[in-house]
Amino acid sequence: MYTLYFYVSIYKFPDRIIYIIHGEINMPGRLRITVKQVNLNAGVIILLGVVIGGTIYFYTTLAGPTEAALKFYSEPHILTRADDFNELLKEEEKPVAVMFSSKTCPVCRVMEPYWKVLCERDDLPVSFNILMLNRDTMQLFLDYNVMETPTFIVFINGKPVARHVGGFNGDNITSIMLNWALASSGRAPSFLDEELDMFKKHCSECHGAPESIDLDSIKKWITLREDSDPLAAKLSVSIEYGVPLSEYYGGSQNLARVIYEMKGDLSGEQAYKLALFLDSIALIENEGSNKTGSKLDISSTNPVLAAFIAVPFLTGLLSALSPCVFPLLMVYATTTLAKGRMLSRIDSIKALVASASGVAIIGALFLIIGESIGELANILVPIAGLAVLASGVLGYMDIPSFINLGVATKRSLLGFSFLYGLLAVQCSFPLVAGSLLLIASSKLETGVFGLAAFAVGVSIPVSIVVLSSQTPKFKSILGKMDNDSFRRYSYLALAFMGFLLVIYSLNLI
Amino acid sequence: MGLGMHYATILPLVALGGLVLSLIAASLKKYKLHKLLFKYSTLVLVIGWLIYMIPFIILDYRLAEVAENSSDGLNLIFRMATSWSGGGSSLYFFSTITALGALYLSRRGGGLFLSIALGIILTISLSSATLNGAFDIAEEGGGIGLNPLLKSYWIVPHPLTTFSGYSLILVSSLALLSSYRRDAIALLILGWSLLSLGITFGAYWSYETFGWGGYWAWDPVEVAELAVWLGAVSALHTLGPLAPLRKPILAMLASSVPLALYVTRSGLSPLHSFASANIGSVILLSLGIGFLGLSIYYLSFDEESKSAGSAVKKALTNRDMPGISIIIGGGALIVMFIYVYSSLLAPSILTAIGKQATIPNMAEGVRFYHPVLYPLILLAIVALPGFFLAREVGSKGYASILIITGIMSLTAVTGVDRGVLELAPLSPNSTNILMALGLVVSTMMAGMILVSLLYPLLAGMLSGRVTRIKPRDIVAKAIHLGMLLTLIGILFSGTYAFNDSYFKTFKLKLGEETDIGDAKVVLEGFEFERSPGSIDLYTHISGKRTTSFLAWQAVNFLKADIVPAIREVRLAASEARVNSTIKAIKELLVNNYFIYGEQDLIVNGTGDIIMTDIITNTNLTLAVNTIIKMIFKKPLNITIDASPIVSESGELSGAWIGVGVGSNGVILLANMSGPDIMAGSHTYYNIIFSNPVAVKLNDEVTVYIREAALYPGLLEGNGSKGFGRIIDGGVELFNPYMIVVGGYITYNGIEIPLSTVIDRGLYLYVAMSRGQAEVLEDAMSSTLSKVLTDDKVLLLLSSSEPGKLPFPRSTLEGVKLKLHLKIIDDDREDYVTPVIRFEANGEALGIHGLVTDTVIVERGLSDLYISVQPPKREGYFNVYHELLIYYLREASQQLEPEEYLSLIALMSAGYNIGGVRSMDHSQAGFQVEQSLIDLYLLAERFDPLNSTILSEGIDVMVKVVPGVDLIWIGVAIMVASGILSSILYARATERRHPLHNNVY
Repeated sequence: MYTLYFYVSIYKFPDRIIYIIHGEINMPGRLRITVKQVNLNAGVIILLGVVIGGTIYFYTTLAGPTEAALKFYSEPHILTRADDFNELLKEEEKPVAVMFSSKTCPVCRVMEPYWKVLCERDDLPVSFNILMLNRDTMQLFLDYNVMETPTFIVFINGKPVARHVGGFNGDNITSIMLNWALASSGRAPSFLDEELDMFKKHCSECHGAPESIDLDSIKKWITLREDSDPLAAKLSVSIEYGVPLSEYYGGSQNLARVIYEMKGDLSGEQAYKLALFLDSIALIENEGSNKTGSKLDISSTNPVLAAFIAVPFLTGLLSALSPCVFPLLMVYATTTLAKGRMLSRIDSIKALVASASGVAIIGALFLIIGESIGELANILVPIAGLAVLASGVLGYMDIPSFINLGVATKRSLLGFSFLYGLLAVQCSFPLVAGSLLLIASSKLETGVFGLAAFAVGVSIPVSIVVLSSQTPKFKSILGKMDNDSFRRYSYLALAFMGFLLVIYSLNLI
Repeated sequence: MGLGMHYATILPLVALGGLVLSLIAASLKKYKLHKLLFKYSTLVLVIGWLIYMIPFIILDYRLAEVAENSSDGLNLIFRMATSWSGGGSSLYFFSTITALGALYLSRRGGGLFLSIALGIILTISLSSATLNGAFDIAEEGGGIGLNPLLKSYWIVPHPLTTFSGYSLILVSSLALLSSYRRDAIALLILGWSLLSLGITFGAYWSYETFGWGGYWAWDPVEVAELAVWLGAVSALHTLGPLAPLRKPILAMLASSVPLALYVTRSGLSPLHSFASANIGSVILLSLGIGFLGLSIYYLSFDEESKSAGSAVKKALTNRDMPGISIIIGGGALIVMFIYVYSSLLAPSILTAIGKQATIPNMAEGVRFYHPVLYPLILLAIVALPGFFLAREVGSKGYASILIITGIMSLTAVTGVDRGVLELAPLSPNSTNILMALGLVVSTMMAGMILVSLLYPLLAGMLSGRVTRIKPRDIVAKAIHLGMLLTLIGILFSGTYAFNDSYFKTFKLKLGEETDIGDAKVVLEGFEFERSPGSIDLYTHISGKRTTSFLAWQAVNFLKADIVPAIREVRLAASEARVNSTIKAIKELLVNNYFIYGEQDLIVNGTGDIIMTDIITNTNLTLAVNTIIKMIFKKPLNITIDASPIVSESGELSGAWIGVGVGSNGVILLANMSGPDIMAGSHTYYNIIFSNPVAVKLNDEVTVYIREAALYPGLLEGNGSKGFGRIIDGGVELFNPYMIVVGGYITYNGIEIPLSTVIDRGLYLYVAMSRGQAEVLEDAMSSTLSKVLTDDKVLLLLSSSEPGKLPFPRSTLEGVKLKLHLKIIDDDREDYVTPVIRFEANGEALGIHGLVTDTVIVERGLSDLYISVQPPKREGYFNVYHELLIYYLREASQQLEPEEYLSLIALMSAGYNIGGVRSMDHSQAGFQVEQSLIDLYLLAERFDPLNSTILSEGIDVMVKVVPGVDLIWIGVAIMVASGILSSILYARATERRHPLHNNVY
């Protein structure tokens, strides 16, 4: 006795119509799925072209020739690579003053010439450098919590000890910069003497003052006043954590403003000098301390991270709707139902897990590739983004992009689900290529999450099918998903996420 | 042009006669005779070429082209190459290839139109070759050698491919105009491939040889090549809806070839200026204009051409995707062709009628061509997938490609604008934006073409069936892929290559490692060498070249100033030993010529003040016998100087000594009266003291002023304040300068008169003049003074005929400097030996004889471009490269003194040619004279073992040229596929016209 089921997809091309027929011939113990016509279709061609073109483009502009040229024309004190910066912090014995700068900020353009004068001097006790914002160094900006440019940070033994946000003001900007850096690194005792006198003159009435600039005097002064004087209390904390006082006020200018507002008879410049003075005495106390400044990990709040998870999930889900596997689901659902076989909810979870592991096998391959390609992973993110963008656009334009494959499988639920997972990834490869590349380009932990999301996305429809054998409700969900406008909007969302990834990887957001 | 005939010129002239007769026969409607004459004339023409090459190979200087381009230092390959690279001979070569093409097409008959048209073309090109001197007889003498820049092995392939390309394109475009012929299409594609190769060889030649790192400069000859190239491409794209346009485009293509030949020959190009416009070139231009007329005729009257509009409309209404793509892409190509063609035509016509005109080149070319061509190129390549992938992806798919490319372009442009994407750090932001945009579009399209190329393969693999692949399709796609790769390479490297600011200079010291980028270079050794061979610098130079006139003038100057100076100095030097005044003056001038006063200078005396107007030459007495007080405000600049007295003939006859006082301001107090006692821009105070006023300058020097001229505002100062102001009892002058015009100086008790001719003044002038004293002293101790005081030599150097000097008839051709460099790149060591050449003929012709060398270190797709500069040595007046100095040293050994001196004068003229062009005659002659002295002295003492390489090292200029290799790879793919495609067309069996048949 034979039972025949068919599911037919029709695709219109400029010159021909393609019918894709999936059928099931029910023989004892066997489920056979055959594919009548194999062809490489428009979407695959375009996607392949986009990925090849994009690879050439991103390789040549972000790595390869451009990188070599930019390196050749870079100036020694202007750091454009994270590696160079890390090496500098590691190798340099002197304190390192770094201007976090970017090409597009006007204040940076004004400040850079003054700072560069210091960069070119090797005789100073502090090494002056500029770190330019780009794709490669962006993480450093995040790591050191640099939210606006220019920001100036002094590092001692690789640890940030002081910062100044925004430009410097005054008559001789270079010398103000130098004084700031020297004071911030505790390298200018003579400079501090003058400031101490100023502090004694203007502030000692309320705050008292250390007798001189040395460890004991400062300690004595602070311990004495810690309980009654908020300034001393804050200084005490600042000393304890090795963070300049100004960090608690949001930079030395803000501290200077507080001082200025407190004492009407001070000039702006004097207030600023006093702010530097307070910063530096904390550091003299604390030289050699290993504690670092506060570090905010904003990467967890990055909306792009969501895209790293959401894109694989969405593409996984959409891949189930591709005409090469969706009929498979339908046929399976129909045959199972026809036989009156009841499947439990547990079965649906089993199916989900089985299918997900099918996906995971292929996905893991990409994860491993990603881990082993090293620096090239850098350009994989934009390529992945481009592929996602392209498959979104193609999907929205209703251009099929899948590969038809023939497969034979046992009828057992787990076997079917597992193979479904494998198959869904393979035949929807163009659609999911972006996600897989994304997984490959991510760090291991992000990649695992991405892969999991992808596997779940692919497998949800299987579990829905299994559930649908129980309740017609689920079958209608499946039916709703196989709906043009649902598909179109999902693809649009996908394209948008791809776009997001591209601009993220190009450091445009 | 000499008289008589050369055996090598007989056959081409016979062929020319035959061609003219064949045309006459055709005009008499004797078509059989015409065909017969045409066939045999072309045959004679081709055979004639083989004989024509003989004098080039055996160096028969009786043929002018040999004498003007060759020398015995050239090897066989270069000698052969001179036969197709000269002004006239290249046109003969062009005629030969054209004749070969004609013979190929006429092997199966061929139409009357074709043979008449080709007959006209060959007649004109051969006449033009004759008029450009291809068959001229030279006057008795030797060869002057090959142009230094052409002395590179690229001289073999570049002209060969370019001219062959021109010939085949011209022949095939005419054949296609007459009727469709498969073999003509094959010939057109072959010609296009050869031209592509020719352009690229030229580009690489420039890149490798000129040392500036550029491969394209919008030089008019380059533009001419591009025009023909674009024409051929346009013609090949007159498909589908554009097919009706094929006749006008083909006619214009035919027109572009003689136009290109005209531009090459007409001296419009600074790089390829081998000849100036003459009647021989002008007939080429007329031929071009004739074909242009034909093109316009087709557009206006030909029914087929006029139907283009409706064909385009039809394609648009039918939404015929491949057709629309052809309209966009082919249309863009045609517009580019017309634009570039027109940019050549107008200046060409202007120069032909004797007007001054230039074709935009270098940076000007960038401004002229880029804004128009850039968007058109993008348009043309965006159309590519619309054609090649039309069947596979459909219009919706094509739209998706455009959307994705558009979004990517947007991110790229924004990226550059926001500074996160940087492609060329030293170029303006606009360049970066154009690069990024172009790169997105061209890489995406390259991806698409690559997929369309691989598609049959992929489809076959996936289906497990053998897919039918049409070789011609594959080849067509490969050509376009090659073009895209070339474009990507150009987009990347263009600004780096073109722009000099990308050069960084490094000093290489002998044996020391120098970091250049991430490679290291060591200069391990060097060798100076003489080049083999000798050249004749008399026959082609003397009295004929600007350099010879400059040299002649310099030698005359030398005779007028240095010769008497040497005589005087000899005399005075012996006198000075006994004459204490001369000795004292010399000491004074050498030790005290400049005094910087740190205190106010006060001059007190009694006398008259007269204001003198230098324009009207009138005097106005302001004060008589009154007390005068002048207070010069510190700081003061006081100079004691000797000035020469020059006779009308330019000879130095003596000198006088003057004292000048400059300061920020002076207060002149005296009881003055007059209409206006304040001096202005053209008046000064003449102060005459009754008794000389003594002003002590230092312990040794006191000046006694009898008469002085006081100029207000003569020194540079604050002009806005005016010349001065009137104050109580006198005037205050700003930035004044006082010259003591009467009086004397006492120096250690010896009195020295001021402002009058002094004994041995010339000697003193020369002895104290900054720079000149040492020069003269140096010259005195060198053989130069001996040569210059030898009357026999002086007589031989005298010539009343401008430009005629005894330049050597046979002298050393040139010298070389071999540098041994070790390049350490990623632990890999490479040894290279760049050779810097100096070719005397280049310097003598005024086009410079120095040819630097480059070392190109490959780094992936990019090049580390190292331009090696020659060692330099400073003379008294200028800096020279050591190759010139070494050359002169070596040349001196076999020359008579007068020949040698003339040679140095000639080399000095060539060396200074750039600078002296803008000077007046005497200034130019003076500068050349200075170089002459410098070079004589430097050459006499030069020793390679004492080169500045040892003390200072050499300079290398280094730039990174990213992605440049993609250009060469792209062209290789394009040309290989082009030749393959040409073979496929030639062997194809179908008789249908592919230009009419929608092959897509």
